[in-house]
Order: sequence, then C-alpha cells, then structure tokens
Amino acid sequence: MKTQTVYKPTGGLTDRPLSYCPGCTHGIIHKLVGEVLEEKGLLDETVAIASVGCSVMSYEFFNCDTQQAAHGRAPAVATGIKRVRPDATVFTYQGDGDLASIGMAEIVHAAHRGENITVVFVNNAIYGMTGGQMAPTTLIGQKTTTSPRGRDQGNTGLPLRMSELLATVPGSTYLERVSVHDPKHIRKAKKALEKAFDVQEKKQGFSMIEFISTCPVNWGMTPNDSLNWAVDNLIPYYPLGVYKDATKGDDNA
Amino acid sequence: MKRITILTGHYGSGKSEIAINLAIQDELNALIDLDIINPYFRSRSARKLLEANGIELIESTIENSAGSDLPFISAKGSRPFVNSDLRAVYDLGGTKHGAKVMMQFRDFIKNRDEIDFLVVVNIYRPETDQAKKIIQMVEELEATSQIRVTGFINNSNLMEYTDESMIEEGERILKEAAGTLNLPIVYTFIEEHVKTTKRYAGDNRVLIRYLAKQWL
Amino acid sequence: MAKVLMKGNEAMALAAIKGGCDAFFGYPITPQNEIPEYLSYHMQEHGRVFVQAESEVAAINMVYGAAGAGARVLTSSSSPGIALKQEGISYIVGSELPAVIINVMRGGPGLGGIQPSQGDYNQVTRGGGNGDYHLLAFAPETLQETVDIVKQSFDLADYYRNPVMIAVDGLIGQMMEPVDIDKEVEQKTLEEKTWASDGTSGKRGRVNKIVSLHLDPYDLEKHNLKLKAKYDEMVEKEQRYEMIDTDDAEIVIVAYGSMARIARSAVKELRNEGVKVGIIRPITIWPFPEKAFDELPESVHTLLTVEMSLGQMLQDVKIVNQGRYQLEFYGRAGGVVPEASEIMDQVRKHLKGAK
Ligand SMILES: Cc1ncc(C[n+]2csc(CCOP(=O)(O)OP(=O)(O)O)c2C)c(N)n1
Ligand code: SF4
Ligand SMILES: [Mg+2]
Repeated sequence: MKTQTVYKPTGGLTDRPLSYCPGCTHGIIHKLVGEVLEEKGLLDETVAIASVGCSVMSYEFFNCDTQQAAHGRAPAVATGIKRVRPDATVFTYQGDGDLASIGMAEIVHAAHRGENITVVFVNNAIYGMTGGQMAPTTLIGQKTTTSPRGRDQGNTGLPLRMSELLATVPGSTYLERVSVHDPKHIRKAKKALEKAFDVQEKKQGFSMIEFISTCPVNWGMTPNDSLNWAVDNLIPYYPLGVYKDATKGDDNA
Repeated sequence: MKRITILTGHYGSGKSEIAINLAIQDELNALIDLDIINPYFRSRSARKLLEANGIELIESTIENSAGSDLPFISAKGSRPFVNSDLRAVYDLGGTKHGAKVMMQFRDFIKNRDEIDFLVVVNIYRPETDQAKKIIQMVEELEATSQIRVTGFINNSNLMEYTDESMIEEGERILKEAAGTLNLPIVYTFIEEHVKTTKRYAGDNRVLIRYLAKQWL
Repeated sequence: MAKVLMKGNEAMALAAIKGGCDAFFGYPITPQNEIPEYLSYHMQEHGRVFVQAESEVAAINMVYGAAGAGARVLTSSSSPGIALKQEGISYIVGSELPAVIINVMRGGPGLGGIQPSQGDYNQVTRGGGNGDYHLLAFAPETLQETVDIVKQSFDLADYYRNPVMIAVDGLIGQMMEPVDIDKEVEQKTLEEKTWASDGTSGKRGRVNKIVSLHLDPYDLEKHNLKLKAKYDEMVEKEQRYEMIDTDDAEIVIVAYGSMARIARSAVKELRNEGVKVGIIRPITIWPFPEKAFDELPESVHTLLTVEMSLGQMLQDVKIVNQGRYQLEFYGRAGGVVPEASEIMDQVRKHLKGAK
C-alpha cells in the first residue's frame, strides 16, 4: 500500500508545544505563517516580532530570529530592525488589542512610512490574554468582562475596522482580511500570507493580513461554536477580501 | 552703514551678539529679534541693556518671550521698513530656516537700497569652513528670504582662543567666497580680548559678548 | 585635529556619528532639536539610518528593534520626551541591549518650560521605567567633555549591554564652545554581537531571541541578579568625578553639569578673597561618585549641594555622607539659572563663624 503524508509539522515552527487553548485559531495562524516562511525559504533570514497578548510567547514558536516587543509597539520595533537590516524579512504578529488599541499610532505610522514589513494581525474581537476584556474590535452587543451588558455604542463607539482604516493610509501597499474557519478559507489565507511576504521580498512596502480569529475560552463557547459565531457575526461586520493592492500595475508585481 | 541692517548666517555664527553690538555702537533706534530657531541666547535676552541704551527691542507677540520657543513674530517688526526715520538692525535665526521669516515682511520692503542683508560668517563653524560651503549657504539664504545678500561680516573666532591669525584665516576664506559672489566684507568683528593693531577688511569693530555669561 | 566652534546639540550629533552610531530614531522637542536636524542631514552622507518617529514611544521602540538587530543606536529627547521613553528603556535593559540616549533637560513637571534645568536627576538616576535597573548616566560640564563621552558611550553601552544616558541641561545643548571633535577617547575591547537577532540564523546555525519576559520567578530573579552584577561592576569601575580646589577646602560644593560651571566661577572669586572652598563635580550621576567623598581632606566641615532642581542629587549626597559633614543645599528650579554671586553668598553664609 502506498503511504501518503497527510500531516507533517512545519519546520517553520519550533518543536515547543504551542501554548494556545485547544481549538484557538492562533494555532492555525502560527502554522500557516511557519509553512509560508519555510516554503519560501525565508526562515534563515527572518526576524519575527512577538507582541503582547496571548501570542506573547510566539518568539518561542517561530523557528527564526525573534524579538519580543512591548504592548502595541511591534511595528516600531520592526521598523528599527528593518531599517538597519534591510535584507532581513521582518514581520510582526499582533492581536487586536495590541494593534488596534494601545498600538494604534505605531501601526498607522509604520503603514504611513511604507515600512517594508509584514504584519500578521489576529483579530479575535477581545483581549484574550488578560481575561476577555472589551477590545476596540468587540462587536456591538458582545459581552466581555468590561462590557458585561454587551458593548454599547453610546458608551464605547463602534468597532474599528483596521484593514479598511489602513487602506486609507497612502503609504500602505497590501491589505487583506482572511479567515481560518474551514479548509477552503485556510488555503485562501495561506495564499494571502504568501502574497504579503512577496510584497516584502520585492521591497514594495507595507503589507498586513488580518485574520478573523476565535477565542473560545473568553467567548465562552466550544471551539466549534466559536467558529460558527465568527462566521455568523464577525465576518458580516468584518468582510473578507483584499482591501488594498497597490502592487497592481507595478512591473515587479 | 545703511539705514537697515539684516543679519543672517549659520546658527552660532554670532548674529545676536553682533546685532546688540551694532545697535549700541551705532545708537540705532531698534533691534528686531526674529529668531525662530534658537530657544536660548537670543538678542531678546538683552532687553534691559538695550532699553538702557534707548534701543527699542521688538520681538514676539507674547510678553516676555525670552523663555518661550513659540515662533510668534511681532507685526511691529515691519515698522523700520515703513518709517524711514528709524535706523534698525534685524537679527534672524540661523540658516535658511531662520531666514525664511523675512517672507513675512516682503510686502513692506519698499526701498531695497536702504537695506544691508549681511551674512555673518565664522569659519571655525564646521558648516561654513570653506568658501564653497559659504557660497552654497548664501544661495540658500537668498532663496528662502527672497532678499539679495549685500555683503559679509567676518566673525571668525574660537571664543577665548581667538587670535589674529584666526581673523586673518577667516578673511582669506571669506574673501574667496566674496570674490566669487562679487560681494564686499562690510565688517570684521574682533573679540574684545584680542589686542591687534592690524586693519582687516571692511569696518573693524570690537565684539563685546553680552549674551554669554562669564561662566559660559 | 584642530578645534572648531560648535553648538552643544550639533556637537553631540557629530560625536555620535564619530562614535560609530548606525541609526538614530527621534521626535522633535526643544531644546534638543538641533540633534535630529543635524543627523537628518548628515547620517545619510555616511550611509546611516535616520528616522523621525511618530512619538518618543515609537522612537525608543525603534531603538530597541535596531539594537536587538546588533546596530549602534542613538535617540535624543528632552525631559517630557524622556518620560515617554521610559517603557522602552526598561525593555532595552531587560533584554540586555546597548543604546545611547541623550537627554537635554528642561524645566518640569508637565510641559514645564524650555529653559535649562536639572530636574530630571531622579528620572535619570532612578529611572521612570519598571523594574530593578540602572542606566550608566553621565552629566558632562563642557562641550569637549560631552563630545568625548558621547563617543565613548557607544562602546560602554556595547560593553555592558545596557543603555547609557547622557544628561545635559539645555544650556549645554544650546551653548557654543570650541571643541576638538576628533580627540582620542579610551576604547573598550568588545566582543562580537553573536546574540543579535538580525535575520542571519542561517549563517549562524541557530536562532537568537531578544526577550525580557521570564515567567518563572526564579528564572527572573536569576536574570535580575545578572543585571545586578553588571551594576556592581559599573559602581566599581565607572565612577567619574573631578575634585576642584578641595585640597585645603573647608566648604566643598557638590555640583554637576552647567551648575558646576557656575560653581567654578564662584570658587575662583571666593579663592581670591581667601575663602577655602572647593568642588566635587560628579561626571557620572549613576553610579554616583561615592569615591570622591572619601578623598576629602580633614579640613572639610560642610558640603554645599547646589542644583538647578530642588534637592534631588542632595538625596545621593545624604546617602554617601553618612553623617560625616554638615549638609547644606541651594537650588533654583523651573529653568532659573543661578548667578555665581548667589552661590558665593551661600558659601559665605556657611563658613565657620559666619552670622
Ligand atoms: C503597557 C501594558 N498595558 C497592558 C498590558 C496588559 N495586556 C496584556 S495582553 C493585553 C491585551 C491583548 O489583547 P490582544 O492584543 O487582542 O491579544 P489576544 O490576547 O486577544 O490575542 C493587555 C491589555 C501590558 N502587557 N502592557
Ligand atoms: S485565551 Fe483565547 S485567544 Fe488566548 S489562547 Fe485561549 S482561546 Fe486563544
Ligand atoms: Mg484579541
């Protein structure tokens, strides 16, 4: 009988067991990033910037040089590295609290300067690490530990859409929102990541892939229910797709 | 000396000290401090001294701006251009960025013949230590101020280390630049402590340091 | 090379280039603007990096990134901006990275003013960031000394893998003084930065991690003890100070930076009057030069601390003094720069038999 490898762990990740809760999509996203870096042969020349959030330990998981950044500051740290080591591939891995709240200035200005870096943005509509508080991306009505009656617009405004926001920043180059709730979408998400690292390799500027992600633990749902909740609630508010592709019409693209 | 002298140049070239010296030595009516570059050591710090000498100090739109870095220049700064009875010296902030403030007064300047626009040069400032750098600076100053430079002031010094040879070296380099640009050296300023009987280019003046404290 | 006349900020910027600074990240604030302005023009000429960041917070985190990638990095700011950088400084220390930070101090608290001050003494020597750490902190007095220290600081930062702060008050940033920018300074023998996380793991054959997170308290304690050992080494080796006219002094002024310049003037005049007065001038404010106080002669009865702040360094003098001498204090704040005559009056007031 012919054997077929159906699953092989990616060399893009170390053999440290991932710290994420079972069914949390942070794990899938890690695997995709690891695979893309490995397949593109970039691991040897990459620096990954871990942010503060559930992915704080990601510097232990990505099998490349890593640096751990303060909450929200990963794009500034990436800027520092990329400017002095322009040949290295540099990416940040950030949650929605990290990127859309405390690190809003750093992400907007990294895009604004057109930093040639890639951002992996994991939007789970909540502060996972600190125990499920409201994030700027939390949906209206969504209950969190700091919006116990459900997020209400009068008090907290409307959820921020970061891909749409960054698309208005003239310096950004490639922005796409993806999801990892089923194999088809996972394949699509991987393509998006490949594109983003391509953009960086071709020195075309700032790229970000926003992942719709889940937090079963803090959402208080089974992993399966949380995937369905993301499809039914998050994706309608955060539609998937390419929000900006400034590489089109470019000879190098 | 023309009715109005405007001093420009690199920062730290000695414009403010020279402005105060000229105002006192020539009994001018006003000193206009338009320095929007430096936060300290501006001619406005010498308010008491100037006023004691009957010289009006025109500076900012905010009272006692000696401690501020707000660039608010006073509209009164245009008075000498309009009132031909006034003899005045203008002290601009350093570099082309300081000189661009003159654009605010362009429409008031009626008679350019009454104005000397002088570039203060100290060749011991690394940014103006060669004729070609000085020439380039003059071009930049003219571009942002929209006023033609009419001459140079040689203020080459190393403060307490200054001696005759430094003034001479300054004159040599400055003459090279002045020659290329076909401009005169209008004044040479000589540090108070340098005892010399030599004659240097232009009007020779003593430089008394009013802004720098003894311990600086 | 011969001396040139430079403005303090400009001289520090040029000294950084001479000291091998690869990259600068900063944000405008008076009275240090000439540093980024100068570097924005000149770093490019040397093929080096200049970035105006969106804030001091971003700037220090860019420093953190670039230092982690093995570069020699500089940032500069003034007091309120340094306050914003404290988070990043703590991360840089925690990750054991070298960096040089210039603080051209102005009056505070809050937006304060733009005139010269030494009100950041605590911010510089105690730090505003979290955790058990210190910066090697210099407070030079003349532009020549400042330039020499800026050049050396890149070596010192690399040697200790710890940030170095150069704290000057606005006067030193803004004043003009002749300097020899190429004067030789002592250099350290440095190891290669094999720890840098710079995207060359392929060549290196292993990955590097730059991290300040240690979730196991025993592990974190061990890390803290390792840092402590470096601080002990600094206390032992890096104390710098100058003893001025102390040999037969009865009163000794303790003053640093511009305040020491003013004190020098006062001492010169007082000595002409026959008053036996000298100065201890700390050149490092962390480590505080305790050794200087052990060198004082028997004749001393009083230490007069003078600051352009209201008794911040005085705390260190108290710690070091341990009851040895009578302690007196004179300070001006908010950007007011005292005259030499004020210090002379203070000295006269505290002479034995005065009043
Ligand atoms: C300066 C600072 N403030 C607050 C925190 C606490 N904190 C840690 S993670 C986090 C939120 C992370 O949420 P997110 O970025 O969405 O990541 P997730 O855990 O959801 O993946 C907060 C507030 C911190 N570490 N540092
Ligand atoms: S808390 Fe939420 S986001 Fe964090 S690992 Fe667990 S499931 Fe994932
Ligand atoms: Mg989150």
